[in-house]
Amino acid sequence: MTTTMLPSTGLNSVLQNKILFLDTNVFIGALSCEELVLFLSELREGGCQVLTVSSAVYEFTRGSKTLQEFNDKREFVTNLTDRVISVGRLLENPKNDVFSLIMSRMVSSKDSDYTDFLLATCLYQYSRLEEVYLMTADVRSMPRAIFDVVGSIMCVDRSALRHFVAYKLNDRSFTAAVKSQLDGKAKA
Amino acid sequence: MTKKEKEVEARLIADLERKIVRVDYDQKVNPKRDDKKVDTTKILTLAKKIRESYDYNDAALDGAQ
Repeated sequence: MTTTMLPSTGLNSVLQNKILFLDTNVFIGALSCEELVLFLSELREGGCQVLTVSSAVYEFTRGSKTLQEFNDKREFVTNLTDRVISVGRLLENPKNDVFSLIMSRMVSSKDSDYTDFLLATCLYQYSRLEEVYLMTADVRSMPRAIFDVVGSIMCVDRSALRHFVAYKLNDRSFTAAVKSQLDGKAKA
Repeated sequence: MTKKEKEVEARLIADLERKIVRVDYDQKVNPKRDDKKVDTTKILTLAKKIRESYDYNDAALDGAQ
């Protein structure tokens, strides 16, 4: 299969030695975009930790008709990433309650699903440790009021032009959103 | 469900669990940056297998997002 990677907007250097979470649609894209696989592999070899969450694994393997298909898809995810993060305790961490409240005010259920929310929570939780990013093909899933687009890559395969965006939580905007919520100014 | 049926169910579940490839779930992110060598060939081979073996359908997969 011939694929072409259009120039990335400096994403390689931005993500070097950082943490990058992958949304389900990145795994879907990687099935047909060889260059995307190479891009992610180079990132990992360059020190970037590529992670995902267990609910993304569920979404990717959903609909498998056989055990072999299920295992192959899970193996694809585990080989493309350094680690799968269990989402079990993400919501049980009371420190994430503030983030849950702000997110619930900013996104509609139409534009963002549960996995998007869990990935966003990972960006919030792990941003206390180091710089954390999310790669997704869904440009509506993260509220732009608190998430910045830091770069994008495009990948062309036989059937489509695929566009992947990297998001980062904007701490200053998030703090402003929290302050606004406390002041009672946030929109429902 | 009878006791016998529960035992059968537990055995079937255990059999299936053994056949499912384990995923390394870990709540903590490892900050250590080891020199990694990614087996890109293996990933691309798996992608090709999934595309060609399982009625790979772009639209259907996209709907699974």
